[in-house]
Amino acid sequence: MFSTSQSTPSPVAQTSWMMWVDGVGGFLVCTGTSVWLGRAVVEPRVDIPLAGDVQRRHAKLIWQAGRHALLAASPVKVNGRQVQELATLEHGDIVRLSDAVTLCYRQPPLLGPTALLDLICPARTVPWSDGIVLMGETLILGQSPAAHIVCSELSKALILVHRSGELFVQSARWVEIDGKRGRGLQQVAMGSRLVCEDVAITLEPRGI
Amino acid sequence: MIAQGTPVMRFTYASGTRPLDGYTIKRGIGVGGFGEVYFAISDAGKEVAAKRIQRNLDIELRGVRQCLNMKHVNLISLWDIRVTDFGETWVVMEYVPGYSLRDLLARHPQGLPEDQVRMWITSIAAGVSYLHARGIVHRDLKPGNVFFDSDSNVVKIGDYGLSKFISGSRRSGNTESVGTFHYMAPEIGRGSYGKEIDIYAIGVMFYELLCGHPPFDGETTHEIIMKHLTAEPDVTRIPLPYRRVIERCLRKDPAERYSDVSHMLMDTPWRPQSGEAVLAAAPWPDIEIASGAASPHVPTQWQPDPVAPVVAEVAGPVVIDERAAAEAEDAVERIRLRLDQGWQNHGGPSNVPQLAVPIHQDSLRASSIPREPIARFVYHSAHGLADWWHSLDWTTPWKVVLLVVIAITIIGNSTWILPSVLALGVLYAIYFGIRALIVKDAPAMPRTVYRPRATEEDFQHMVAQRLAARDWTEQAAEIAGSLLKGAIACAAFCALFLSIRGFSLGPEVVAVGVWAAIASTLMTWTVLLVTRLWSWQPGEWLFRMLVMGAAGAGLGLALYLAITRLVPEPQVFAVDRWSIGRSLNWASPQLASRFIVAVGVLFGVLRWWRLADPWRRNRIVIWRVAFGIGLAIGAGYAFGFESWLPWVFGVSIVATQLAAPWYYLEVKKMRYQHKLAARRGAL
Repeated sequence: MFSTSQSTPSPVAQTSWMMWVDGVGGFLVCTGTSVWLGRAVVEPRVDIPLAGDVQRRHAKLIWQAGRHALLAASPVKVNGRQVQELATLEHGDIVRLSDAVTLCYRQPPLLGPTALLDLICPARTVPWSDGIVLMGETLILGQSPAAHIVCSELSKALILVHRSGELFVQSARWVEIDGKRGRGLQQVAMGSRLVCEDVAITLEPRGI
Repeated sequence: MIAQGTPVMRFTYASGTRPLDGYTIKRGIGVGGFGEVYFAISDAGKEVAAKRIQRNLDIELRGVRQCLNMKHVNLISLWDIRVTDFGETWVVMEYVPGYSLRDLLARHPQGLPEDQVRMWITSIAAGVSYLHARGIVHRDLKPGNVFFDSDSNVVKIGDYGLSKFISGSRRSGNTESVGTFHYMAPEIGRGSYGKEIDIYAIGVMFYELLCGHPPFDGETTHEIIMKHLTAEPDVTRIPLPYRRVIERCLRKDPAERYSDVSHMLMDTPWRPQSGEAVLAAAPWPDIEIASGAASPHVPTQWQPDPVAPVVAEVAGPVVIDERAAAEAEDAVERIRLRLDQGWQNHGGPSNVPQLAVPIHQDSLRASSIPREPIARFVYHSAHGLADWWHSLDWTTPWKVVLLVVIAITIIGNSTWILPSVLALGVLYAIYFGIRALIVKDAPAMPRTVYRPRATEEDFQHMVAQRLAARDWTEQAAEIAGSLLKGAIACAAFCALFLSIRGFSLGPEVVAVGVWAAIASTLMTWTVLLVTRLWSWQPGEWLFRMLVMGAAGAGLGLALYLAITRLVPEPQVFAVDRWSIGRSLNWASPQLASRFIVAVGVLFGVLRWWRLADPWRRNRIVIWRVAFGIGLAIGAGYAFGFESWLPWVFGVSIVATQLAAPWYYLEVKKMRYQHKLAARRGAL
């Protein structure tokens, strides 16, 4: 009847992908240990493609010694100070790539190494995303304002787990993955559709 | 189909499906009254919102077709209508990332700060004005249909697919009830309406933006509708400058509302030069973090945030400017604060630029906060004290005990407290009067700019404008003439009084008569000159009373000095009724202060500008004169001045009325001419 753009689920080979949450938003999730920020062009492909006046490969975020650090390939300022090669990031740091692209780095405390990058207008990602997630081991969707992604409809939290290159979902209630209903920790693949009582989520490998 | 039925957010199509040729669904955005809305990306990469029409197909489509080619920055663009092979109808339109006004209001139950209100209302007005100019009534304006595009920082109106053509002959076209009850004008129930219903809805949103709740609310739909039909909106919480506008938008009779959005805007204190100017250049308060200069007519432009220039200085290897560094820190802190408050970015509704609620309360209070610094200090202290009192964690009996102790303390020390309070009051009144004459505060009331159905006030306004347009020599002649009239009237009345009382014309009596004439003339002149500054428009009465009181206090001192110079020992002039002073010593400051207070109080309490009002119905308003003289008799008795105060004041009251310019007849004439013109136009 209708063809889906992604018919065969592939394992999580990609380091960044889109997570579409019905009624909530679209999120760019980066699962790699190093994440490139740069211009939204076909080649070179970066993890966080930005429509803004940035270089093709502008900066890289790496995970080292329990922290995110920023490696500047082009001039970057963190909290107004020029980054000399490498700067470790802390919750609330303002990262300025260019006149038009400013991000806020947030790592909600107590939720592990997963961090959020908040794009401050006017820059945007391609495609439009309502948030950028630098995923550590877990990504929490829930009602609580403390969750990484706040879904007011979701009565019980849904946790995505990224472990040694594979992706799982954990919930106290049933979750239907591509039509198969299950409980507890279940593996998911790229292109999967997750449906639970309150919300429906699709994981999509990035197109560009 | 895929994933049908299970989630609460029920969407027919899952991410990745292609129900509409050329577009891939990415996610569901929401489910509205007319169908599901999806975020989709075309094969070429265009991001769109695609709406699947499910119900009321006819209504919806008819409207959408009319609106396909509307282009306005404040309207959500419609790209296309498509019908699939399966018979499904899709409307493809602009995708607006961000949040709706409904979401924003939900987060601000106390209402929004005025600059944000201004941005929303001017933007909505611009979009609606564009629609009206193309003969389309939105019909379903409500906060859920107005969005803030967080990509381009623009307010956009959506769902104008419901709109219909205004047809001159057939205003009652579609009588189906569509829309949301809180924003529905009373005449919608009758099925006959025009663009006034949009003005009404804007008025409701205007009210809700300022207060946080709609003007007419109720438990049931029926209750809300009844209130729309019968209840008057409670505008006491609306800051003064907006009250008239909102009241006018919310009139029950559509003919009494503004006939055009631009007229409404011109009545707001945002004070446009012309309606067009406002609509073209929606003023852009920086609701984002930037506090730099806003670019007025390019709303889509990103305002460079203040970090940029400052940081450049800081980063330089040369010298660090400490102040710039501090500002940079501040700016960063502000961004951080905003993000901390509002980062639940995901989910749209929460992606709201947070402005702390206290700012708003301040702005709501702002209209009642005195502008004068001392009064403001007292006001804030009193509020602080009140807040402290309310927050006091005591039981009521203890509070009562505390109050009683305070009261006893005050009464026990009344001998010095009362006179000092009185003295402070008089000093403040004098200071306030002088300040009011020197410092010009911005006017509290917006001036009427436009009104199609003219009221008495409008005619007064028109006459006033004509009068104000006169040559300065004419105006000066008018002032000089009324002063002269006042002096002559005072002199004549004083002579009359002397002859009636049958004093023998000794030198002392003549001296007293001359003094009385001078006194009443001075009073009359003061009234004429001061009220001349305020004539033509209504103003705040408390402010005027204080100014007049201060002027009166000054006059009292002058009169005291004059009488002590003219008459060596005029015993008849004061009676020591209340034994305020132990002995009546003419040179004593105690008597001087009695003069000051007596004249000051009479000047302050009697609303003299009413006596000198150029629009008074009759040149001499009998009951005002009677009331004034009665007050003067009372004051004369109270202060022990009954031998002269009542008649000096009586004389100046009558003289003021005789001498003050009087233009009621002109207003009447103009109203008559307008009526004639209107009748001729109707024929």
